[in-house]
Amino acid sequence: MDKILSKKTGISEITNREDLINALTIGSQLEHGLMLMYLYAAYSIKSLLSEIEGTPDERQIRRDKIRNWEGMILRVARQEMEHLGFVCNMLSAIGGAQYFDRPNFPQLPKFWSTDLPIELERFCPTTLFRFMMFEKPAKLHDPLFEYCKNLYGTHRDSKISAESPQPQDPDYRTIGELYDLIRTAFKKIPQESLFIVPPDSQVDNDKLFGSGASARQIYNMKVFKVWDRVSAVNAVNEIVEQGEGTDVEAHVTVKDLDPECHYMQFRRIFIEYVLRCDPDNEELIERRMIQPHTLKYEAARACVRNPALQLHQDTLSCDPYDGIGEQPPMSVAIIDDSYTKKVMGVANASYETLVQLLIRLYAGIDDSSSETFGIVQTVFFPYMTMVVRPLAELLSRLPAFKHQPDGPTAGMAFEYYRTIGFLPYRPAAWIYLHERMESAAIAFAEASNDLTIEKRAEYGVDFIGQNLKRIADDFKTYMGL
Amino acid sequence: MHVLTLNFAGYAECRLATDPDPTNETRGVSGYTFALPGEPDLDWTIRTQDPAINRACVERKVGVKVVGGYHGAVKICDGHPLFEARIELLDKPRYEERNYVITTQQFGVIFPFHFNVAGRGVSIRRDVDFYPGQPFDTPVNVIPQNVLQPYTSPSLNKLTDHELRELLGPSGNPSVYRQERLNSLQKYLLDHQLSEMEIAAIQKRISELKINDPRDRRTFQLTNKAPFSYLLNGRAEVCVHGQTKILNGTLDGNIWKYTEPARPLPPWPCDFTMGSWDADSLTFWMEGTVKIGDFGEIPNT
Repeated sequence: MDKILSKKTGISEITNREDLINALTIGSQLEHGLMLMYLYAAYSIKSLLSEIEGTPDERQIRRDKIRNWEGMILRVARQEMEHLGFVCNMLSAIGGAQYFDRPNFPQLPKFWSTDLPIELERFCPTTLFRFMMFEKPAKLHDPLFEYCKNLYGTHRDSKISAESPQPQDPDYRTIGELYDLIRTAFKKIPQESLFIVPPDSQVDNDKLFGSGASARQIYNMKVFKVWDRVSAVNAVNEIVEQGEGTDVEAHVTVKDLDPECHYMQFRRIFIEYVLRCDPDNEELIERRMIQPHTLKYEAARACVRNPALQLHQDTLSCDPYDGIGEQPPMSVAIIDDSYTKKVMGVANASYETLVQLLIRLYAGIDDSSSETFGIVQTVFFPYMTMVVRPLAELLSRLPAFKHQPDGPTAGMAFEYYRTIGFLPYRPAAWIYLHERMESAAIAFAEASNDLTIEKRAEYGVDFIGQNLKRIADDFKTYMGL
Repeated sequence: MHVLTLNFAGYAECRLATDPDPTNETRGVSGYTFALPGEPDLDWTIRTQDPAINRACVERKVGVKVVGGYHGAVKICDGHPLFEARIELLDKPRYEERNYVITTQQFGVIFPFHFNVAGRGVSIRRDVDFYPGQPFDTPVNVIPQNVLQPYTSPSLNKLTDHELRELLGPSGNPSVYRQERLNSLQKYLLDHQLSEMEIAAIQKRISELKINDPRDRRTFQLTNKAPFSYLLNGRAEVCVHGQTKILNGTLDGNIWKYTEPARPLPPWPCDFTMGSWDADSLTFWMEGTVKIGDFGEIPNT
C-alpha cells in the first residue's frame, strides 16, 4: 500500500506506459470499491411493509419511494461495473493485466487519494453525502453540498482544501481528476507505441448481451472495446460524464450537470429523503436547507458497518466491534451469529467465484466461444442477480450478533480471503470454479437445514438454494465437465 | 371423430419483475416493471382470465377466448358451445426463466402448462408433461435446460404493421401509444379525487411512461412477438355438463398417473405467440391455435 501511495505522489503528468497502467489499476480499484459501497447501501434498504413506520397507506408509499432510491443506487452501481469494464479494456489495449484486486473494508481515507473513508455503511444521510463527495465534479458550486458539509463535515476537508493543498497532496482528489490524468496520457503518449494488444479478446456489449447489443445501452451499460487513442478517450469521457455529469473543466453549477449522472442521482435521493421535497424545486430546497431536518422515517435496516467474518491482513489495524455500544466508524463488525456466519461464508465465496469468472472473461485469452458463452451465462445474470443480490439482501435482514437477535443486522461483506488472480490453466479453472459453486450450494443447503420451515419461507432460502445448485449444474454442462 | 381446431386470442396478464431484478423480487427495483403502492406483490403468474389488478386508463381487457376454428368441416362461430370459450392456463402457471438459470434463451417457459378450454357446458383440458418418464410434479428447477429448451421461444420477431395498428391504435406507434397513456393518466390525476396512495401509484406510472425512447425496452417491447410451440402430451380430460372423463390415466388426489388408453392419445399441438408486452399495464397479446385430434361429438347446449 505504501508503495502505491508513494507511486501516486509526485506524478502530476503520466508520460509512459508503466505510469498509465498504474493509474488504470487505481481506477479499477476505485470503480470496484465504489460499486461495492453503493451495493452495500442499496441492499440495506428496507423492503418489507412490516419494517416501515407509518399508517398502512404511508407504509405503502414509503416503501415505493425507498425502493425507488434502491433502484437508483443499483443503477449507479451497474455503471461502476461498466466503468470497471472500460478500465479493463484500456489496460488490455496497452499491455496491462485486468485488475480485480482490492483491499477488504474498511480502509483509511488516505488509501485512495480521494481522501474519503472507504467503508461499507448502510443507507443513511451521511452515506449519501459521502457518495456525493466521491462523485462531485471538482469545480462544482452546489449550495446543497456546502449545507451537507456543515451538517456532517468531511474527512477530506479536515486534511486538504482546494485552495491550500498540503504537502502530501495526492495527484487527484476526485475520480474525475484521476481520469483527467489518464485521458491526458492517452492523448499525449504516441498511440503507435502505446496500443500493443488487439482488441479481439476485450469485452463489449455484444459479448455480454449478444450480437447487436453494442449499438445501444443495455441495463444502462454500453461497454465498448478500446484499441486506439480515440476509443480510449471516449471510454474515459464515458466514465467521467456518467459519474460527474460534466466534462467541462470550468466552474459549474448543478444546472450544468446531466441529471442522470451519479452525483445528481445521490443528490436527488438526499433531497427526497432528508429535505423531503421535490428535487427539481430549487427554491424549496433552499428554504428547507435553513430549517432543522429530522428524518420522518428510517429507510434502511440497522446494518452494521463493515461486516466481516474475521479481520484480514489488510484490516488488522481496524478495531473489531462485537455489538456492544455504538459502532465507531472504520471498525469491523465481527459477525458471530451462527446462521448469519454460514450465509456470509457462502456469500463471500460466491462473490469471489464471480470475480474469478470475470477475470477469465476479461482476460479472454484461450477460451473457446462456447466457454465464453458459459461464463457469460453464469455471471450475467445468474450469479449477479440470482445469487449475490439475494444473499446480500438476506444478510441485511439477519442478526449480526448471537447475543442480540433483534439487534443490528449484518450485510454483504464482500470479503477477499486470498489473492484473486487469473487462473491460468483453462481446464483446471473450470474444475476449480465448479467445485467452488458446488461447495457453496452444499454449504447453503446445510445452513438452511438449521432453519424452521417458517423461517425458510420468510427468508426465501429454498429459492436461493435451488439457484445455487442449478447454476453449478449448468456451469458443468457449459464447460463440458 | 374429427380434428378440433380452435383459434384463440386476447390479452393476458403477467406481473413480473424484469431483469436485472432477481426473479424473487416482489415489487420491482432495478428493472422496468413494478408493483405499485396498494397492489399485491408480483407473482410471475400468467393470467389469461381474471387479472389480479386493473390499472386506471388501460384499455386492454384481459381475457383470452376462442375466436374461431373448425370441428371437422364445421366452423366454430357464434352459437357454437366453444365459440368465445375461455382459454385458461390452470394451476398458476409462472413465466419461468430465473435470469438464465432455467433457460439459456431470452425467453422462459410457461410452467406448469395446463391448458383448458371452458365453453358452454363443455371444457377440454390437456397438460404438458415437460419431463416424460419423470414424476409429473418434477419442479422446473431440476429439469435440465436442454429438456426445457423446446418450450422456450426460438426467436423474437416484429409485429406486422397491421398487427401494430390493431394492438396499439391507428398510429401503430409504440411511442404514441405510451404518450397517449401518459396523457390519460395526467388527466385522470386532475379529474379524480384520489387518495395519497393512489396518487403515488399514478405518479410512478407517469414517471415510467415518460421514459419513451424507441430503443428502450419499455417502448420497443410493445412491437415484438415471440412464437411458442407446446405439445400437449400429458393429462387429458373432457368435462361435459359437470361429468369429467380422464382420457389417458387416473387421478390420485390431484396427482395424475398415466395409463395407456385403449386408443393411444397423440399429443395435441398448441402453437401461439405472445407479444406487444405493455410494461405499464403488465399485459401482453396472446394468439394461437390448438389442434385436438379425433374429438367426438360436442354437445349442443
